[in-house]
Amino acid sequence: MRWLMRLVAVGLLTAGLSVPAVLAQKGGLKDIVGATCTGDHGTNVHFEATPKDAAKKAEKEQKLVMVLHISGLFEDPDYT
Amino acid sequence: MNALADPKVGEFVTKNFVSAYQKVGTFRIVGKQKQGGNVATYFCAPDGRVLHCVAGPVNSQQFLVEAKWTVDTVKKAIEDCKGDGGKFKIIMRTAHAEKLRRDHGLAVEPITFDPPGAQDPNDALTYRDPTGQPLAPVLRPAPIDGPDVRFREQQANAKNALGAAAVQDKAGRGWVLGNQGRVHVLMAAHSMSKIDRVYASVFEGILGERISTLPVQVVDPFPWRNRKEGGPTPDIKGK
Repeated sequence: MRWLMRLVAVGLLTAGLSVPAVLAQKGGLKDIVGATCTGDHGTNVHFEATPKDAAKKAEKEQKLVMVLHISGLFEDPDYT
Repeated sequence: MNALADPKVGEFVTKNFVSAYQKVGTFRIVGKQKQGGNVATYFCAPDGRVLHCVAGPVNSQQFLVEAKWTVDTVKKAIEDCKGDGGKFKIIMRTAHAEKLRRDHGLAVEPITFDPPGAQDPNDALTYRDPTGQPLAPVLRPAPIDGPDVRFREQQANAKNALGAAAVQDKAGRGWVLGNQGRVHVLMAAHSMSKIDRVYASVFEGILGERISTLPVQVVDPFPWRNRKEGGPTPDIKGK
């Protein structure tokens, strides 16, 4: 019984170490990390990093600029 | 801001605007209750001049109305001004005055020129921000003529609007305007001013929030519940 438990533990440890490596090789880990920070902060609007960046992009794309002035941390829904 | 989570709003905003956000205020969380905090949305030209603004949180329907009004008015103004920047400003301010009359029942005379600043920046008595940034001035809104007789009913509805507050007309009579109504009064005089001149008047003047770079304060009203044996009292956290 102990042999069986040790075998399972070693198997799980190996799998845990190897999965991120495999994902990283395929670019999967990069995708997962990227998916957590899309710049929309739970909205259907993409936000540029700064109003200056937004202005530059707007001028290039012949669009207007929308700037939100907020209290708290927009990145964290609990603090917005 | 829930309005921005609406797919229709997202589609329209993405098509017509490039967006960004800035933290200008803070609030406190006491227990599970939020105290203070607000949001203002500015629709600007790419050079940072404010075309229109939405003060406070609104639903997706109203947000879309304001965003569409901005885009339509700008398109029309570009056609009508024929490349004249001064004329563009007059058209925008007049459009704000007209929208105030139509939607809120109050008439203002748009201010179509910007008088030179009264303060001399080299005066020894002028306050200078240590960061070198000029302070955002408190702007004077356009003087209110009084109610438009055709829209007295809308003026009655304004009493129930978000952020309803008293305003005085030129004769000293008191009327009521919600946040958006007061935005139009401000914009009838200061539309096409740079965002750094306008934001204090919106955030502090209309929304009644203080501009602050302080972090959000999380206050535990019952600190003894989380106190560890012999440890300090965890009462205030910053985020």
